[in-house]
Amino acid sequence: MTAVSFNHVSFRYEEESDWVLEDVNAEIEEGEWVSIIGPNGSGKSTLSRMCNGLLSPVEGEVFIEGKPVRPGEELALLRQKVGMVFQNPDHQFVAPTVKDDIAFGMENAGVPRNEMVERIEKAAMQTGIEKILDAEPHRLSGGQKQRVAIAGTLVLHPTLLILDEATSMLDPQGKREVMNILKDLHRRDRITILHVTHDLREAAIGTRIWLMRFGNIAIDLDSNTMLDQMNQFDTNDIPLPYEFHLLQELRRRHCKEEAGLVKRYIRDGIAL
Amino acid sequence: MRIVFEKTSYTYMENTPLEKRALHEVSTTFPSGEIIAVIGRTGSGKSTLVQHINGLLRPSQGKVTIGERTVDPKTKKKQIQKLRENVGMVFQYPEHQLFEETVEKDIIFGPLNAGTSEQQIKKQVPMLIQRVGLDESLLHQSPFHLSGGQMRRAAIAGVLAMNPQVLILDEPTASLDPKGKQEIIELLKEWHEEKRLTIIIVTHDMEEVADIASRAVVMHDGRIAMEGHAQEIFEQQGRLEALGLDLPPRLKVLSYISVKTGVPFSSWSLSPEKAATEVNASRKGNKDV
Repeated sequence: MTAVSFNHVSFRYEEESDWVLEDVNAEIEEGEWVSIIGPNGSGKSTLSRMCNGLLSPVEGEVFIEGKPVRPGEELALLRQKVGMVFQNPDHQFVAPTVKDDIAFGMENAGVPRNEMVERIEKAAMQTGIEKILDAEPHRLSGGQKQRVAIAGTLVLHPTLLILDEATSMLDPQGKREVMNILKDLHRRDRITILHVTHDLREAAIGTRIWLMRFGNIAIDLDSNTMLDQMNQFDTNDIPLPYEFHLLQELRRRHCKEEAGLVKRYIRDGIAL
Repeated sequence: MRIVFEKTSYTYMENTPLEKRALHEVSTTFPSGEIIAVIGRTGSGKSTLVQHINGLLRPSQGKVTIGERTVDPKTKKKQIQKLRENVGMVFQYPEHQLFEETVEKDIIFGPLNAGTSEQQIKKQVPMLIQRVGLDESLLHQSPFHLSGGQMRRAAIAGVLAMNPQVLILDEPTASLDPKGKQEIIELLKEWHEEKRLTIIIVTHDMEEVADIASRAVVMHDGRIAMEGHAQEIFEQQGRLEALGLDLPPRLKVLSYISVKTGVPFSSWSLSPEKAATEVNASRKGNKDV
């Protein structure tokens, strides 16, 4: 099934202002892990926010599992299906303890109490936060906070998880924690992932990459192919991380064995 | 300018129940004209250490000597003012400190405050703005209309305008996108190349350390855990990991290749081109045998 479909989507904040998105057409299949990269202002976050109705297209339409995203009562249901985690881990907490915070979304969704307990237990296991359920959110590390935020979406049983630069304020340890959870959620729980990031290292772990430029998807490649066609990325706005650059240089010198090693190193996220 | 710490200790909120010792008898020397990276986990004392160099903090015990000037627990505020003419500091998220109506006014605020004539400093502004890679047309815009990376560069231009002999930057690339990061690092490299000033960078981005720093100091629990040439520090992988620090990406991937294929690299700070050339040479060498 098609998880997300953008159908001639255009967006701008005000009439007369520049288009932030311009006639975007794209689809994400169930079980894919799409990473959106691109310079600031290219429309990455805007596009991701169309998926749960936080923003609505000025023209065109967005479909989630075949149903159009439209303002109204159904939006609440849609937001259970589409979990979203944002950039700043400090802006996402509403309750005094981790457990209460995770329960918050379920209370709104009318989940019965005994089921809540089960769901929290499972989400805590999926995100490795079993031991901090009684902690105060503001005392946690950045990586822990983002894991709690992910758990808060998982209890609503989403089929699509969107991370809007959710790793960009984390230190390397925190990034690793979050990326490892995404890997598990994708592989084990078959959750479709849309990951907005600046980091090519993170993007290379998913199944597909969109490079956005000037409000449009300029490049759409599966991640494996991307590593073979990096000359497309080697532009001013996406500097290649060291291993990517090294991979290119090894290929140029026909060092096939080592190039293969480095490619696997990047794809498996050993670099993180 | 050389910077010498001698048994420098610092305690926050001294003589209160919240007393916290952040530096424990730190002794070290930052040689003049080098780029020194100060590394360490959150709370290790990195920022506390460097804030002693521009007199933002005075040691609770011991002393710090910056060029000819010494700061100890008894140094008067007036003397510290003098110090700041030579020591520029770029704080974390410096864009949060932009406040003037135009970018130009923000850039000249520091030097004006330090007593430079407005005419003199205004002459330099076009050069500065170009050096930090901003377009001159931005000068008369509000700083709040700039992107994150542009704001950061405008803030750095304000400090460079004072032409400091020592430049301290606390996490200068934090939360910028890769392009923004690269621009700041290139800017610092060029400025250093030309002025040969002492640059001190607090960072937890190890790639940055590998890329720009000649020396590194690793802080842990308010003490110096490691110091020396950046290259030597990277060779002690075990110790870095034990201190909870990441290894630079280039070291990680090069040692991965080395372990898997036996290619011996001559250094852990090779550029991608040089590393690939060494791989190639080593393969050819093997064939001849």
